Amino acid sequence: MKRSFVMCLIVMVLAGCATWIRTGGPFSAPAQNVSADLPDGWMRMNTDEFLIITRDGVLLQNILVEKIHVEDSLQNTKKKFRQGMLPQELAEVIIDNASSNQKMLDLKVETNKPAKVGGQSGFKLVYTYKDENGLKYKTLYYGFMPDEFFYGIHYDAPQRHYYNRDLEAFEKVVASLKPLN
Amino acid sequence: MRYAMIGLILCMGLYGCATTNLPPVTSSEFAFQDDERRIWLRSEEEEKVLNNSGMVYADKKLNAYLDGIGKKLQPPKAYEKVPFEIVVLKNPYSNAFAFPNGVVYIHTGILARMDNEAQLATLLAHEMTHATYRHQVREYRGLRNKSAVFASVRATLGGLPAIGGLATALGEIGTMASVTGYSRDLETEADMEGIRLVVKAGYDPREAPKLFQHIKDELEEEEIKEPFFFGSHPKLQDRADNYREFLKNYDHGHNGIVNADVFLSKTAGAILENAFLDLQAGRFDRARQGAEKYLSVKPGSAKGYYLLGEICRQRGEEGDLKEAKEHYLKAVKLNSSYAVAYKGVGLLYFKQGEKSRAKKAFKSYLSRAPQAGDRSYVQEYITQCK
Repeated sequence: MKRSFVMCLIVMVLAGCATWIRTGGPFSAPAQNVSADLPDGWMRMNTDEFLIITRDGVLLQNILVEKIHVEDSLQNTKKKFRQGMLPQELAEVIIDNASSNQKMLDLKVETNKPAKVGGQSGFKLVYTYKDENGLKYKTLYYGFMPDEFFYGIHYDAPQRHYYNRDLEAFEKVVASLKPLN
Repeated sequence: MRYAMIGLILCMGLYGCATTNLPPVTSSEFAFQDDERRIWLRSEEEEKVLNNSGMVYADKKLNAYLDGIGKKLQPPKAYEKVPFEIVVLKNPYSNAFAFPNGVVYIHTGILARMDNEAQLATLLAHEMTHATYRHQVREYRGLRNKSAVFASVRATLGGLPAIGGLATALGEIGTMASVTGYSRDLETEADMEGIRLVVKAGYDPREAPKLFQHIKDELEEEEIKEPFFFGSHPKLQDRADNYREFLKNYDHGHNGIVNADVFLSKTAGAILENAFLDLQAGRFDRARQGAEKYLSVKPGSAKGYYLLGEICRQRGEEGDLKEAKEHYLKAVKLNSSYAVAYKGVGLLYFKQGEKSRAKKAFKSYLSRAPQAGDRSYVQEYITQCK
Protein backbone atom coordinates (compact mmCIF):
# COMPACT_ATOMS: atom_id res chain seq x y z
CA MET A 1 0.00 0.00 0.00
CA LYS A 2 2.75 2.32 1.02
CA ARG A 3 4.87 2.21 -2.13
CA SER A 4 1.89 2.69 -4.44
CA PHE A 5 0.69 5.45 -2.20
CA VAL A 6 4.03 7.24 -2.37
CA MET A 7 4.02 7.03 -6.16
CA CYS A 8 0.49 8.49 -6.23
CA LEU A 9 1.67 11.21 -3.95
CA ILE A 10 4.57 12.09 -6.22
CA VAL A 11 2.22 12.24 -9.19
CA MET A 12 -0.15 14.50 -7.24
CA VAL A 13 2.65 16.82 -6.25
CA LEU A 14 3.99 16.96 -9.80
CA ALA A 15 0.50 17.68 -11.04
CA GLY A 16 0.26 20.57 -8.60
CA CYS A 17 -2.71 19.05 -6.77
CA ALA A 18 -1.18 19.14 -3.32
CA THR A 19 0.39 21.73 -1.11
CA TRP A 20 3.16 21.17 1.42
CA ILE A 21 3.08 23.30 4.58
CA ARG A 22 5.74 23.53 7.26
CA THR A 23 4.75 21.90 10.56
CA GLY A 24 5.31 22.64 14.25
CA GLY A 25 3.05 22.22 17.27
CA PRO A 26 -0.59 21.16 17.59
CA PHE A 27 -2.48 20.35 14.44
CA SER A 28 -6.05 19.21 13.88
CA ALA A 29 -7.04 17.12 10.88
CA PRO A 30 -10.86 17.11 10.79
CA ALA A 31 -10.95 14.77 7.78
CA GLN A 32 -9.05 12.16 9.81
CA ASN A 33 -10.89 13.19 13.00
CA VAL A 34 -7.64 13.44 14.97
CA SER A 35 -5.31 16.02 16.44
CA ALA A 36 -1.60 15.64 17.19
CA ASP A 37 1.54 17.62 17.97
CA LEU A 38 3.61 17.64 14.80
CA PRO A 39 7.41 18.00 14.94
CA ASP A 40 9.05 21.32 14.12
CA GLY A 41 10.52 21.79 10.69
CA TRP A 42 8.76 18.92 8.92
CA MET A 43 6.41 19.38 5.99
CA ARG A 44 2.80 18.25 5.96
CA MET A 45 0.19 17.63 3.34
CA ASN A 46 -3.37 16.66 4.14
CA THR A 47 -6.31 15.63 2.01
CA ASP A 48 -9.66 14.02 2.78
CA GLU A 49 -7.97 10.61 2.63
CA PHE A 50 -4.78 11.12 4.63
CA LEU A 51 -2.41 13.39 6.49
CA ILE A 52 1.25 12.88 5.69
CA ILE A 53 4.34 14.55 7.11
CA THR A 54 7.99 14.22 6.16
CA ARG A 55 11.24 15.95 6.93
CA ASP A 56 13.50 15.00 4.02
CA GLY A 57 11.03 13.64 1.48
CA VAL A 58 8.42 10.88 1.53
CA LEU A 59 10.82 8.24 0.23
CA LEU A 60 13.27 8.93 3.05
CA GLN A 61 10.78 9.07 5.90
CA ASN A 62 7.09 9.72 6.25
CA ILE A 63 4.43 9.61 8.91
CA LEU A 64 0.97 8.93 7.62
CA VAL A 65 -2.39 9.18 9.37
CA GLU A 66 -5.40 7.59 7.72
CA LYS A 67 -9.02 6.85 8.51
CA ILE A 68 -10.72 3.94 6.75
CA HIS A 69 -14.43 3.13 6.87
CA VAL A 70 -15.56 -0.50 7.19
CA GLU A 71 -17.15 -0.29 3.75
CA ASP A 72 -13.94 0.96 2.12
CA SER A 73 -11.86 -1.41 0.02
CA LEU A 74 -8.20 -1.81 0.79
CA GLN A 75 -5.63 -1.49 -1.92
CA ASN A 76 -4.07 -4.96 -2.01
CA THR A 77 -6.32 -7.43 -0.24
CA LYS A 78 -10.01 -8.00 -0.75
CA LYS A 79 -10.41 -8.26 3.01
CA LYS A 80 -12.21 -5.42 4.77
CA PHE A 81 -12.36 -4.13 8.30
CA ARG A 82 -15.42 -5.11 10.29
CA GLN A 83 -16.83 -3.23 13.23
CA GLY A 84 -16.01 -5.01 16.49
CA MET A 85 -12.75 -6.51 15.26
CA LEU A 86 -10.20 -7.16 17.97
CA PRO A 87 -6.88 -5.26 17.69
CA GLN A 88 -5.19 -8.51 16.69
CA GLU A 89 -7.69 -8.96 13.86
CA LEU A 90 -7.10 -5.38 12.71
CA ALA A 91 -3.36 -6.05 12.63
CA GLU A 92 -4.05 -9.22 10.66
CA VAL A 93 -5.83 -7.20 7.96
CA ILE A 94 -2.99 -4.67 7.82
CA ILE A 95 -0.36 -7.42 7.52
CA ASP A 96 -2.32 -9.19 4.78
CA ASN A 97 -2.80 -5.95 2.89
CA ALA A 98 0.94 -5.28 3.04
CA SER A 99 1.83 -8.90 2.17
CA SER A 100 -0.39 -8.74 -0.90
CA ASN A 101 1.28 -5.53 -2.08
CA GLN A 102 3.18 -6.15 -5.29
CA LYS A 103 5.75 -3.51 -4.48
CA MET A 104 6.66 -4.73 -1.02
CA LEU A 105 8.86 -7.79 -1.32
CA ASP A 106 10.06 -10.21 1.34
CA LEU A 107 7.84 -8.74 4.05
CA LYS A 108 8.70 -9.87 7.57
CA VAL A 109 6.76 -9.04 10.73
CA GLU A 110 9.08 -8.26 13.64
CA THR A 111 6.56 -7.15 16.28
CA ASN A 112 2.81 -7.53 16.60
CA LYS A 113 1.32 -6.71 19.98
CA PRO A 114 -1.45 -4.78 21.72
CA ALA A 115 -0.95 -1.07 22.30
CA LYS A 116 -2.88 1.95 23.51
CA VAL A 117 -3.24 4.59 20.81
CA GLY A 118 -5.07 7.85 21.40
CA GLY A 119 -6.47 6.32 24.56
CA GLN A 120 -7.95 3.42 22.62
CA SER A 121 -7.07 -0.28 22.57
CA GLY A 122 -5.17 -0.98 19.41
CA PHE A 123 -2.09 -2.67 18.02
CA LYS A 124 1.56 -1.97 17.41
CA LEU A 125 3.11 -3.58 14.37
CA VAL A 126 6.68 -3.49 13.09
CA TYR A 127 7.57 -5.02 9.75
CA THR A 128 10.34 -4.81 7.18
CA TYR A 129 10.22 -5.24 3.44
CA LYS A 130 12.33 -4.61 0.34
CA ASP A 131 11.40 -2.28 -2.48
CA GLU A 132 11.92 -3.11 -6.16
CA ASN A 133 15.57 -2.06 -5.93
CA GLY A 134 16.24 -4.28 -2.94
CA LEU A 135 16.33 -1.35 -0.51
CA LYS A 136 15.11 -2.47 2.90
CA TYR A 137 12.39 -0.40 4.55
CA LYS A 138 10.97 -0.60 8.04
CA THR A 139 7.47 0.36 9.11
CA LEU A 140 6.05 0.99 12.56
CA TYR A 141 2.27 0.89 12.45
CA TYR A 142 -0.28 1.72 15.16
CA GLY A 143 -3.97 1.18 14.60
CA PHE A 144 -7.29 1.13 16.44
CA MET A 145 -10.97 0.97 15.67
CA PRO A 146 -13.36 2.63 18.13
CA ASP A 147 -16.40 2.63 15.80
CA GLU A 148 -17.03 2.00 12.12
CA PHE A 149 -13.74 3.70 11.24
CA PHE A 150 -10.26 2.24 11.44
CA TYR A 151 -7.57 4.76 12.39
CA GLY A 152 -3.98 4.08 11.41
CA ILE A 153 -0.80 6.03 12.01
CA HIS A 154 2.43 4.70 10.63
CA TYR A 155 6.01 5.60 10.09
CA ASP A 156 7.96 4.28 7.11
CA ALA A 157 11.65 4.80 6.30
CA PRO A 158 14.67 2.99 4.88
CA GLN A 159 15.85 0.71 7.67
CA ARG A 160 19.45 1.84 7.44
CA HIS A 161 20.15 5.28 8.91
CA TYR A 162 16.72 6.90 8.46
CA TYR A 163 14.42 4.60 10.45
CA ASN A 164 16.11 5.05 13.82
CA ARG A 165 16.88 8.70 13.22
CA ASP A 166 13.27 9.88 13.22
CA LEU A 167 11.66 7.14 15.28
CA GLU A 168 11.52 9.30 18.40
CA ALA A 169 9.76 12.10 16.51
CA PHE A 170 7.15 9.58 15.37
CA GLU A 171 6.58 8.18 18.86
CA LYS A 172 5.96 11.73 20.11
CA VAL A 173 3.35 12.25 17.41
CA VAL A 174 1.66 8.96 18.40
CA ALA A 175 1.72 9.90 22.09
CA SER A 176 -0.01 13.19 21.32
CA LEU A 177 -2.63 11.71 18.98
CA LYS A 178 -6.24 12.25 20.09
CA PRO A 179 -9.55 11.67 18.35
CA LEU A 180 -11.38 14.98 17.87
CA ASN A 181 -14.74 13.58 18.94
CA MET B 1 11.08 9.23 -49.08
CA ARG B 2 8.81 6.54 -50.43
CA TYR B 3 11.79 4.45 -51.67
CA ALA B 4 13.59 4.98 -48.39
CA MET B 5 10.53 3.68 -46.56
CA ILE B 6 10.28 0.63 -48.84
CA GLY B 7 14.01 -0.01 -48.32
CA LEU B 8 13.58 0.23 -44.58
CA ILE B 9 10.66 -2.17 -44.62
CA LEU B 10 12.68 -4.61 -46.76
CA CYS B 11 15.60 -4.42 -44.32
CA MET B 12 13.25 -4.98 -41.39
CA GLY B 13 11.68 -7.92 -43.19
CA LEU B 14 15.04 -9.49 -43.99
CA TYR B 15 16.20 -8.92 -40.45
CA GLY B 16 13.00 -10.48 -39.16
CA CYS B 17 13.56 -13.54 -41.34
CA ALA B 18 17.10 -13.87 -40.05
CA THR B 19 15.92 -13.79 -36.45
CA THR B 20 13.18 -16.35 -36.94
CA ASN B 21 15.48 -18.83 -38.63
CA LEU B 22 17.55 -19.72 -35.57
CA PRO B 23 17.56 -23.52 -35.22
CA PRO B 24 16.49 -25.12 -31.94
CA VAL B 25 19.19 -26.11 -29.46
CA THR B 26 18.77 -29.78 -30.36
CA SER B 27 19.65 -29.12 -34.01
CA SER B 28 23.08 -30.08 -35.35
CA GLU B 29 23.27 -26.54 -36.75
CA PHE B 30 22.94 -24.99 -33.31
CA ALA B 31 25.60 -22.42 -32.43
CA PHE B 32 25.42 -20.16 -29.41
CA GLN B 33 25.14 -16.52 -30.50
CA ASP B 34 26.91 -13.57 -28.86
CA ASP B 35 23.71 -11.68 -28.08
CA GLU B 36 22.20 -14.91 -26.80
CA ARG B 37 25.11 -15.29 -24.38
CA ARG B 38 24.51 -11.77 -23.10
CA ILE B 39 20.80 -12.50 -22.65
CA TRP B 40 21.67 -15.63 -20.66
CA LEU B 41 24.04 -13.66 -18.42
CA ARG B 42 21.39 -11.05 -17.86
CA SER B 43 18.85 -13.77 -17.10
CA GLU B 44 21.12 -15.09 -14.36
CA GLU B 45 21.23 -11.64 -12.77
CA GLU B 46 17.46 -11.31 -12.92
CA GLU B 47 17.02 -14.79 -11.48
CA LYS B 48 19.19 -13.83 -8.49
CA VAL B 49 16.81 -10.97 -7.68
CA LEU B 50 13.82 -13.27 -8.01
CA ASN B 51 15.42 -16.02 -5.94
CA ASN B 52 16.20 -13.52 -3.15
CA SER B 53 12.74 -11.97 -3.16
CA GLY B 54 11.40 -14.40 -0.56
CA MET B 55 8.94 -15.78 -3.09
CA VAL B 56 10.57 -19.14 -3.87
CA TYR B 57 8.60 -22.10 -2.52
CA ALA B 58 11.19 -24.59 -1.29
CA ASP B 59 10.13 -28.24 -1.41
CA LYS B 60 12.83 -30.68 -2.50
CA LYS B 61 10.38 -33.52 -3.20
CA LEU B 62 8.21 -31.30 -5.36
CA ASN B 63 11.28 -29.99 -7.20
CA ALA B 64 12.46 -33.56 -7.86
CA TYR B 65 8.99 -34.44 -9.18
CA LEU B 66 8.95 -31.42 -11.50
CA ASP B 67 12.48 -32.16 -12.64
CA GLY B 68 11.40 -35.75 -13.43
CA ILE B 69 8.55 -34.50 -15.64
CA GLY B 70 10.93 -32.10 -17.37
CA LYS B 71 13.30 -34.96 -18.17
CA LYS B 72 10.43 -37.05 -19.54
CA LEU B 73 9.51 -34.20 -21.87
CA GLN B 74 12.87 -33.05 -23.16
CA PRO B 75 15.55 -35.31 -24.68
CA PRO B 76 18.99 -35.47 -22.96
CA LYS B 77 20.36 -33.51 -25.91
CA ALA B 78 18.19 -30.54 -24.96
CA TYR B 79 19.35 -30.75 -21.33
CA GLU B 80 22.98 -30.72 -22.50
CA LYS B 81 22.41 -27.34 -24.11
CA VAL B 82 19.83 -25.89 -21.73
CA PRO B 83 20.26 -26.95 -18.07
CA PHE B 84 16.57 -26.82 -17.16
CA GLU B 85 15.56 -26.02 -13.60
CA ILE B 86 11.96 -25.69 -12.46
CA VAL B 87 11.26 -23.31 -9.57
CA VAL B 88 7.94 -22.79 -7.81
CA LEU B 89 7.03 -19.25 -6.74
CA LYS B 90 4.68 -18.41 -3.89
CA ASN B 91 2.13 -16.43 -5.85
CA PRO B 92 -1.63 -17.11 -5.87
CA TYR B 93 -2.22 -15.87 -9.43
CA SER B 94 -1.99 -18.21 -12.43
CA ASN B 95 1.21 -17.82 -14.36
CA ALA B 96 4.39 -19.59 -15.47
CA PHE B 97 7.34 -18.41 -17.50
CA ALA B 98 10.79 -19.51 -18.66
CA PHE B 99 14.08 -17.70 -18.88
CA PRO B 100 16.20 -18.49 -21.95
CA ASN B 101 18.76 -20.38 -19.83
CA GLY B 102 16.11 -22.93 -18.93
CA VAL B 103 14.94 -21.73 -15.52
CA VAL B 104 11.18 -22.20 -15.53
CA TYR B 105 9.12 -20.46 -12.84
CA ILE B 106 5.66 -21.74 -11.95
CA HIS B 107 3.30 -19.95 -9.59
CA THR B 108 1.65 -21.94 -6.82
CA GLY B 109 -1.58 -20.36 -8.11
CA ILE B 110 -1.56 -22.29 -11.37
CA LEU B 111 -0.37 -25.51 -9.70
CA ALA B 112 -3.31 -25.26 -7.31
CA ARG B 113 -5.78 -24.97 -10.18
CA MET B 114 -4.48 -27.92 -12.22
CA ASP B 115 -5.99 -31.38 -11.91
CA ASN B 116 -3.24 -33.71 -13.00
CA GLU B 117 0.27 -34.34 -14.28
CA ALA B 118 -0.80 -34.25 -17.94
CA GLN B 119 -1.89 -30.62 -17.52
CA LEU B 120 1.33 -29.80 -15.72
CA ALA B 121 3.34 -31.48 -18.49
CA THR B 122 1.50 -29.35 -21.06
CA LEU B 123 2.48 -26.19 -19.23
CA LEU B 124 6.10 -27.27 -18.75
CA ALA B 125 6.48 -28.42 -22.33
CA HIS B 126 5.21 -25.07 -23.57
CA GLU B 127 7.56 -23.08 -21.34
CA MET B 128 10.56 -25.32 -22.05
CA THR B 129 9.98 -24.93 -25.77
CA HIS B 130 10.43 -21.18 -25.42
CA ALA B 131 13.96 -21.98 -24.23
CA THR B 132 14.85 -24.78 -26.64
CA TYR B 133 13.50 -22.86 -29.62
CA ARG B 134 15.39 -19.78 -28.45
CA HIS B 135 12.32 -17.58 -28.50
CA GLN B 136 13.79 -14.91 -26.28
CA VAL B 137 16.77 -14.15 -28.48
CA ARG B 138 14.54 -14.26 -31.55
CA GLU B 139 12.02 -11.90 -30.01
CA TYR B 140 14.67 -9.76 -28.40
CA ARG B 141 16.44 -9.12 -31.70
CA GLY B 142 13.25 -7.60 -33.02
CA LEU B 143 12.74 -5.52 -29.92
CA ARG B 144 16.23 -4.56 -28.93
CA ASN B 145 15.79 -1.00 -30.07
CA LYS B 146 12.55 -0.69 -28.25
CA SER B 147 13.71 -0.42 -24.69
CA ALA B 148 11.07 2.25 -24.19
CA VAL B 149 8.50 -0.47 -24.74
CA PHE B 150 9.94 -2.42 -21.81
CA ALA B 151 10.19 0.67 -19.70
CA SER B 152 6.56 1.55 -20.26
CA VAL B 153 5.37 -2.01 -19.77
CA ARG B 154 7.28 -2.41 -16.53
CA ALA B 155 6.11 0.96 -15.30
CA THR B 156 2.49 -0.02 -15.71
CA LEU B 157 2.79 -3.46 -14.17
CA GLY B 158 2.03 -2.30 -10.65
CA GLY B 159 -1.71 -2.56 -11.06
CA LEU B 160 -1.82 -6.03 -12.54
CA PRO B 161 -2.83 -8.53 -9.89
CA ALA B 162 -2.10 -11.47 -12.16
CA ILE B 163 1.63 -11.11 -11.66
CA GLY B 164 1.31 -10.54 -7.96
CA GLY B 165 4.51 -9.85 -6.07
CA LEU B 166 6.56 -10.47 -9.16
CA ALA B 167 5.94 -7.09 -10.69
CA THR B 168 8.90 -5.35 -9.24
CA ALA B 169 11.23 -8.32 -8.97
CA LEU B 170 11.32 -8.93 -12.71
CA GLY B 171 13.89 -7.43 -15.02
CA GLU B 172 13.49 -6.99 -18.76
CA ILE B 173 14.00 -10.64 -19.64
CA GLY B 174 11.58 -11.78 -16.96
CA THR B 175 9.07 -9.17 -18.02
CA MET B 176 9.14 -10.45 -21.57
CA ALA B 177 8.86 -14.06 -20.44
CA SER B 178 6.14 -13.64 -17.88
CA VAL B 179 4.16 -10.60 -18.85
CA THR B 180 4.42 -9.31 -22.37
CA GLY B 181 4.90 -12.77 -23.86
CA TYR B 182 6.06 -13.52 -27.38
CA SER B 183 4.66 -12.95 -30.81
CA ARG B 184 1.68 -14.98 -31.91
CA ASP B 185 3.87 -17.17 -34.16
CA LEU B 186 6.31 -18.02 -31.39
CA GLU B 187 3.52 -18.79 -28.90
CA THR B 188 1.87 -21.04 -31.47
CA GLU B 189 5.22 -22.75 -32.06
CA ALA B 190 5.56 -23.30 -28.29
CA ASP B 191 2.02 -24.70 -28.15
CA MET B 192 2.55 -27.06 -31.08
CA GLU B 193 6.03 -28.28 -30.18
CA GLY B 194 4.95 -28.48 -26.55
CA ILE B 195 1.96 -30.70 -27.28
CA ARG B 196 4.15 -32.89 -29.51
CA LEU B 197 6.50 -33.40 -26.55
CA VAL B 198 3.54 -34.13 -24.28
CA VAL B 199 2.32 -36.90 -26.59
CA LYS B 200 5.84 -38.25 -27.12
CA ALA B 201 6.27 -38.52 -23.34
CA GLY B 202 3.07 -40.57 -23.22
CA TYR B 203 0.74 -37.99 -21.64
CA ASP B 204 -2.88 -37.55 -22.62
CA PRO B 205 -3.05 -34.36 -24.73
CA ARG B 206 -6.80 -34.11 -24.21
CA GLU B 207 -5.97 -32.55 -20.83
CA ALA B 208 -4.21 -29.61 -22.53
CA PRO B 209 -7.28 -27.45 -23.30
CA LYS B 210 -8.41 -27.81 -19.67
CA LEU B 211 -5.48 -25.62 -18.64
CA PHE B 212 -7.15 -22.77 -20.48
CA GLN B 213 -10.42 -23.42 -18.73
CA HIS B 214 -8.66 -23.00 -15.39
CA ILE B 215 -7.19 -19.67 -16.51
CA LYS B 216 -10.58 -18.61 -17.88
CA ASP B 217 -12.13 -19.39 -14.50
CA GLU B 218 -9.61 -17.13 -12.78
CA LEU B 219 -10.29 -14.30 -15.21
CA GLU B 220 -14.00 -14.55 -14.52
CA GLU B 221 -13.49 -14.66 -10.76
CA GLU B 222 -11.18 -11.65 -10.85
CA GLU B 223 -13.33 -9.87 -13.44
CA ILE B 224 -10.28 -9.26 -15.63
CA LYS B 225 -11.43 -8.20 -19.10
CA GLU B 226 -8.11 -8.14 -20.97
CA PRO B 227 -5.56 -10.02 -18.90
CA PHE B 228 -1.87 -9.31 -19.31
CA PHE B 229 -1.20 -12.90 -20.25
CA PHE B 230 -3.25 -12.60 -23.40
CA GLY B 231 -2.87 -8.92 -24.14
CA SER B 232 0.00 -9.57 -26.52
CA HIS B 233 -0.11 -13.36 -26.65
CA PRO B 234 -2.60 -14.88 -29.02
CA LYS B 235 -5.94 -14.49 -27.32
CA LEU B 236 -7.21 -17.15 -24.98
CA GLN B 237 -9.48 -18.56 -27.67
CA ASP B 238 -6.63 -18.76 -30.18
CA ARG B 239 -4.49 -20.68 -27.75
CA ALA B 240 -7.27 -23.14 -27.01
CA ASP B 241 -7.85 -23.47 -30.77
CA ASN B 242 -4.20 -24.45 -31.28
CA TYR B 243 -4.73 -27.46 -29.06
CA ARG B 244 -8.11 -28.32 -30.52
CA GLU B 245 -6.57 -28.32 -34.01
CA PHE B 246 -3.93 -30.72 -32.78
CA LEU B 247 -6.48 -32.94 -31.11
CA LYS B 248 -8.46 -33.28 -34.37
CA ASN B 249 -5.70 -35.51 -35.67
CA TYR B 250 -5.08 -37.26 -32.39
CA ASP B 251 -6.06 -40.88 -31.96
CA HIS B 252 -8.80 -40.70 -29.34
CA GLY B 253 -8.69 -44.44 -28.77
CA HIS B 254 -5.29 -44.07 -27.15
CA ASN B 255 -5.19 -43.52 -23.41
CA GLY B 256 -2.27 -41.40 -22.36
CA ILE B 257 -0.88 -40.79 -18.88
CA VAL B 258 -2.95 -38.46 -16.69
CA ASN B 259 -1.56 -39.19 -13.20
CA ALA B 260 -4.07 -37.21 -11.15
CA ASP B 261 -3.34 -38.95 -7.83
CA VAL B 262 0.44 -38.65 -8.06
CA PHE B 263 0.15 -35.01 -9.09
CA LEU B 264 -2.11 -34.15 -6.15
CA SER B 265 0.03 -35.94 -3.59
CA LYS B 266 3.22 -34.26 -4.86
CA THR B 267 1.73 -30.78 -5.10
CA ALA B 268 -0.40 -30.93 -1.93
CA GLY B 269 2.01 -28.79 0.11
CA ALA B 270 2.09 -26.10 -2.58
CA ILE B 271 -1.71 -26.20 -2.82
CA LEU B 272 -1.99 -25.57 0.93
CA GLU B 273 0.60 -22.79 0.81
CA ASN B 274 -1.32 -21.22 -2.04
CA ALA B 275 -4.59 -21.43 -0.11
CA PHE B 276 -2.98 -19.41 2.69
CA LEU B 277 -1.87 -16.83 0.08
CA ASP B 278 -5.40 -16.67 -1.29
CA LEU B 279 -6.66 -16.09 2.23
CA GLN B 280 -4.14 -13.28 2.68
CA ALA B 281 -5.38 -11.69 -0.54
CA GLY B 282 -8.96 -11.99 0.73
CA ARG B 283 -9.91 -14.45 -2.01
CA PHE B 284 -11.96 -16.52 0.42
CA ASP B 285 -13.64 -18.81 -2.12
CA ARG B 286 -10.35 -19.70 -3.80
CA ALA B 287 -8.73 -20.26 -0.42
CA ARG B 288 -11.54 -22.61 0.53
CA GLN B 289 -11.25 -24.55 -2.73
CA GLY B 290 -7.52 -24.90 -2.13
CA ALA B 291 -7.98 -26.07 1.46
CA GLU B 292 -10.62 -28.60 0.42
CA LYS B 293 -8.43 -29.87 -2.43
CA TYR B 294 -5.56 -30.30 0.02
CA LEU B 295 -7.82 -32.14 2.48
CA SER B 296 -8.96 -34.48 -0.29
CA VAL B 297 -5.35 -35.69 -0.40
CA LYS B 298 -4.50 -35.29 3.29
CA PRO B 299 -7.81 -35.85 5.12
CA GLY B 300 -6.05 -36.18 8.47
CA SER B 301 -4.37 -32.80 8.33
CA ALA B 302 -5.04 -30.54 11.30
CA LYS B 303 -3.48 -27.65 9.37
CA GLY B 304 -6.00 -28.09 6.54
CA TYR B 305 -8.95 -27.89 8.95
CA TYR B 306 -7.33 -24.99 10.79
CA LEU B 307 -7.13 -23.14 7.46
CA LEU B 308 -10.83 -23.79 6.80
CA GLY B 309 -11.51 -22.40 10.28
CA GLU B 310 -9.45 -19.30 9.54
CA ILE B 311 -11.21 -18.72 6.22
CA CYS B 312 -14.62 -18.83 7.93
CA ARG B 313 -13.54 -16.70 10.92
CA GLN B 314 -11.90 -14.05 8.76
CA ARG B 315 -14.75 -13.86 6.26
CA GLY B 316 -17.21 -13.50 9.14
CA GLU B 317 -20.42 -13.84 7.15
CA GLU B 318 -23.63 -15.41 8.45
CA GLY B 319 -23.00 -18.92 9.73
CA ASP B 320 -19.25 -18.60 9.25
CA LEU B 321 -18.33 -18.42 12.93
CA LYS B 322 -20.26 -21.57 13.76
CA GLU B 323 -18.55 -23.38 10.90
CA ALA B 324 -15.16 -21.98 11.89
CA LYS B 325 -15.56 -23.49 15.35
CA GLU B 326 -16.35 -26.90 13.87
CA HIS B 327 -13.19 -26.79 11.75
CA TYR B 328 -10.98 -25.66 14.63
CA LEU B 329 -12.37 -28.41 16.84
CA LYS B 330 -11.80 -30.95 14.09
CA ALA B 331 -8.17 -29.77 13.84
CA VAL B 332 -7.76 -30.20 17.60
CA LYS B 333 -9.30 -33.66 17.42
CA LEU B 334 -6.91 -34.68 14.66
CA ASN B 335 -3.86 -33.29 16.40
CA SER B 336 -4.19 -32.29 20.04
CA SER B 337 -0.80 -30.55 19.99
CA TYR B 338 -1.72 -28.28 17.06
CA ALA B 339 -1.55 -25.03 19.02
CA VAL B 340 -3.06 -22.39 16.72
CA ALA B 341 -6.34 -24.25 16.43
CA TYR B 342 -6.88 -23.66 20.18
CA LYS B 343 -6.32 -19.96 19.63
CA GLY B 344 -8.96 -19.99 16.89
CA VAL B 345 -11.43 -21.63 19.26
CA GLY B 346 -10.47 -19.14 21.99
CA LEU B 347 -11.06 -16.14 19.73
CA LEU B 348 -14.53 -17.37 18.81
CA TYR B 349 -15.54 -17.97 22.44
CA PHE B 350 -13.99 -14.65 23.46
CA LYS B 351 -16.01 -12.71 20.91
CA GLN B 352 -19.18 -14.59 21.90
CA GLY B 353 -18.61 -13.62 25.55
CA GLU B 354 -18.04 -17.21 26.71
CA LYS B 355 -15.12 -16.15 28.83
CA SER B 356 -14.37 -19.29 30.83
CA ARG B 357 -14.27 -21.41 27.65
CA ALA B 358 -12.20 -18.75 25.90
CA LYS B 359 -9.74 -18.64 28.78
CA LYS B 360 -9.35 -22.43 28.75
CA ALA B 361 -8.71 -22.45 25.00
CA PHE B 362 -6.20 -19.59 25.19
CA LYS B 363 -4.34 -21.31 28.01
CA SER B 364 -4.22 -24.50 25.95
CA TYR B 365 -2.77 -22.46 23.10
CA LEU B 366 -0.04 -20.85 25.17
CA SER B 367 0.89 -24.08 26.92
CA ARG B 368 1.51 -25.63 23.50
CA ALA B 369 3.15 -22.56 21.97
CA PRO B 370 4.86 -20.69 24.81
CA GLN B 371 6.97 -18.64 22.38
CA ALA B 372 4.02 -17.65 20.15
CA GLY B 373 4.50 -14.35 18.37
CA ASP B 374 1.06 -13.17 19.46
CA ARG B 375 1.54 -14.18 23.10
CA SER B 376 0.97 -10.64 24.36
CA TYR B 377 -2.44 -10.44 22.67
CA VAL B 378 -3.49 -13.77 24.11
CA GLN B 379 -2.30 -12.90 27.60
CA GLU B 380 -4.39 -9.76 27.41
CA TYR B 381 -7.43 -11.81 26.37
CA ILE B 382 -6.86 -14.11 29.35
CA THR B 383 -6.66 -11.09 31.67
CA GLN B 384 -9.94 -9.82 30.26
CA CYS B 385 -11.56 -13.21 30.87
CA LYS B 386 -11.21 -12.90 34.65
